[in-house]
Amino acid sequence: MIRLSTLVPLPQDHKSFSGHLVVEIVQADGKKDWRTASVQCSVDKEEKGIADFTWKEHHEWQFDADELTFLRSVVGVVSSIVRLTRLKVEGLKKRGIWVRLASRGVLCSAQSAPAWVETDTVVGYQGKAYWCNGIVAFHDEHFRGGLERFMSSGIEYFKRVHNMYRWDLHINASHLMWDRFPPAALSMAFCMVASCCSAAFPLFRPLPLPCASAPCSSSASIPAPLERSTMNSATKLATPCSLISL
Amino acid sequence: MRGRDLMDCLTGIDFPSPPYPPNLMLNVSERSLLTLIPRGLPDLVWSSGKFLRRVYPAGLRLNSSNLDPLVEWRSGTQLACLNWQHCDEEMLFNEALFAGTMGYVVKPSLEKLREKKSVRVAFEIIGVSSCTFVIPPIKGS
Repeated sequence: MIRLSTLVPLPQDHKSFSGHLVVEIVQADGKKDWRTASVQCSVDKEEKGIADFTWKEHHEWQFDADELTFLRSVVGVVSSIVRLTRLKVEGLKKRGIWVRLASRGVLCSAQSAPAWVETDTVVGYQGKAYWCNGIVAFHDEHFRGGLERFMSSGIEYFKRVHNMYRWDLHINASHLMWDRFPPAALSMAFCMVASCCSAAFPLFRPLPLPCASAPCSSSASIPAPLERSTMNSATKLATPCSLISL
Repeated sequence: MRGRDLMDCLTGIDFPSPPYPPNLMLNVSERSLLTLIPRGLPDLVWSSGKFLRRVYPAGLRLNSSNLDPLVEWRSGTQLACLNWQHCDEEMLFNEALFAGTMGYVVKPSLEKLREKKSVRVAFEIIGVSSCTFVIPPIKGS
């Protein structure tokens, strides 16, 4: 349900900044969003840069039922730190703390079956493990019923306290190191290194292929191809399926 | 699995003549499906009820970007291939749909899809606590 996808490096001289939350809903006819007001927040650096946000805002949406409906909430941080050059290198592309709330199309079938809210996995930016807590109150009875039976690997548990839901989040985003080194760049670099080594050292050159006229003793061990089906060529050509040729 | 079936899987088989087996899966490229959706969406939905369909990304996605799975899912496609090395919005949708499941999600019945319901969602954002920030190291230390 919650996603923490990137983190903001805090500057040395800034101890407060403002944060807001954007809630988006994605359906077949497009995307709509709603944004809370920005609130000020202070960070205690001695406690490893842990911050708390409190918005206490209420919002409602009414829309037509759709099989695939997704909700997402994003926590954004606004500060003067984005003007720093260093952040342009390491944090501007994915700045802000992102907490994403996603739900499946169970919104649409909520009136006939217990609704439940799906979750996103949690991703970070620097390949470390992070954690945070969040509190959301849903005023829809179907959502509440769904949340109580929700559990995933990314989120430890949803705990119900005074008709509100608190999530405990533990994030391990080591696999995201691939974002910095795309596989295409790695493969190109490997090919360049391999070609350079092959040119510089004869040992790295590929072995010569065996002569075609030389007898190959291993050919006798290759099994003979199995018999195909007795389908004649006219039947093959008459196979009608437009999707197959795609 | 019999030996003949195993060899067929390894060496590839010719496409059979009708009637098609129920375990047939159609592999469609992303571009082909996006071409078919505007003019043949009902046929695609009908086909997805008969056979499995797998959509793979276009060959021009050299940076391993992901296709939009919502478009493919809405056309009835069961399998949308995604590149996991990029955690972009498409991957988030994939996780949102399948996380906490056994790997598949049963589609709703057509009767439910045809019903036009208006859904109301009300939520209250209280806050987020213990968000961790990255503190860059002090220069010279």
